[in-house]
Amino acid sequence: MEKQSKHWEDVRDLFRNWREENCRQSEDVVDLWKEVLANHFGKLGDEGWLVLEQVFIAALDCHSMEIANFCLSKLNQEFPDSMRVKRLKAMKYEALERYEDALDILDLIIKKDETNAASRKRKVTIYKSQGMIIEAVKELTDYLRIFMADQEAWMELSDLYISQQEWNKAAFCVEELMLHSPFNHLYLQRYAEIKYTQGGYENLEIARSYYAQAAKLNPNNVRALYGLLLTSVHMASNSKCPSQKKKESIKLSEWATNQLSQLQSSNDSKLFSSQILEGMGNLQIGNDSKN
Amino acid sequence: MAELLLDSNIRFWVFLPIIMITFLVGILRHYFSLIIASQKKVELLQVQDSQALVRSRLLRENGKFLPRQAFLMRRHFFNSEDMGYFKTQKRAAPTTNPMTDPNAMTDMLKGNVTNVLPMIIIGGWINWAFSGFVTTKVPFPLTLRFKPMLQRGVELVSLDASWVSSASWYFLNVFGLRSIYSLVLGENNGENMNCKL
Repeated sequence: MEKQSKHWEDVRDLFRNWREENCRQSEDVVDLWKEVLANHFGKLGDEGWLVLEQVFIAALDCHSMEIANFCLSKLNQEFPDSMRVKRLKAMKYEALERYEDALDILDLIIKKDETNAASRKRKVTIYKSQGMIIEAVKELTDYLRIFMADQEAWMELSDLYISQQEWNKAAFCVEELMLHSPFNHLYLQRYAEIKYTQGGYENLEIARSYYAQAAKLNPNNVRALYGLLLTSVHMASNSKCPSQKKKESIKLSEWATNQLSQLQSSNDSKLFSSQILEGMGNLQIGNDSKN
Repeated sequence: MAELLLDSNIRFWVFLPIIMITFLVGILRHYFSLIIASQKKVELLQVQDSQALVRSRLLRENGKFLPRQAFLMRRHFFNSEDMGYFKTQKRAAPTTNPMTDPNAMTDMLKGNVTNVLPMIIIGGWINWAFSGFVTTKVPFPLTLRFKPMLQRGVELVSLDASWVSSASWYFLNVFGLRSIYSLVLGENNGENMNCKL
């Protein structure tokens, strides 16, 4: 096994990379820690505390409670009054499903330091992990009333709303994300998907333009191309569509089909088949009640 | 004016040491200011305001990528007369007068002490220790008005004003090495002379 011969310095550098890139390779982290770094902890110096935090969270993910407790006790010894360590303790309670204790600790942190954003976000995750989506949404909206420029939070809120099928509110959240990065084709595509799901002629129009923008920014975005194809076909077959827009839509759908078949031939993948492409064009939205 | 030939000992024992002294003292000042810097406590309202400003700026810059209705909705949120965020939030006027605000006062004092005091002390010591001779020649011609300022210990009427004493070389170094500090110490170092002296 290659892992045994890994030098502890390589492991340390690997951990640093994962920390910076926010990778969540929990099992690898725990395994590498057990085999290599636990024995060399003293040599890590100041970076050791960051590594401990990383290993702690990974251990919680894998439910290895002894490793987690070990890390937490070491951190507690070194930083007895730290808000950050308290927050990790709350995460441990959360992993053990002692939600009231976790909430108590987090409320204590928030009372002491009102500007602590991370603890508020942990409260949201506690509600979410218990399945209490409505409370999670309420907590997150309160959070966003204060910290309105937090992209991560808007992303999370949009996911929560999508799970609750509140399309309007989810679209609002994705609009916030688009304000932050208007050239991110993924946000554009997500927005278009929400609009398309909402249905109705105006939303179809909006969806089509956002799909088109996403496809323009990244012609390899297959979802955007399919979305463009579908929306333009549906717009063209819709009675409300003026003839000029119909021609536009048909052109767009042809372009999308071309792009997709190009990708298909270059990819040579069995997942793409020309029959699917043809079939897509024939899909109908049945009984449009919103029309 | 004829070219003066300076003793090469001056180069080794005065010119370079002054550079080293200035540089090292600057580094010491930086770490000293780090040690005595006070923790900034932020208020929740401040954070909220800064986030609101970021959001409104993004709306201004990237609003054209949103559908019309969405943009108008957000503009209404910020600007509407009776309910807009920027219209209804009241903030106490900040005390711009630093004299009355104790926190700003102590910060200013610390900045002054850290920067100015060592400069005066070491400038005086150099003036005392390295006096009586010229140290270097500035590459551009200066008028005679500069002579008493730049040639402290050397009272020669006929000496070109370009020849300067060690004290002026020290002050030249203090201001000149600040850009080197930003290379060595990274941004936001203790040498930033942004304090309102």
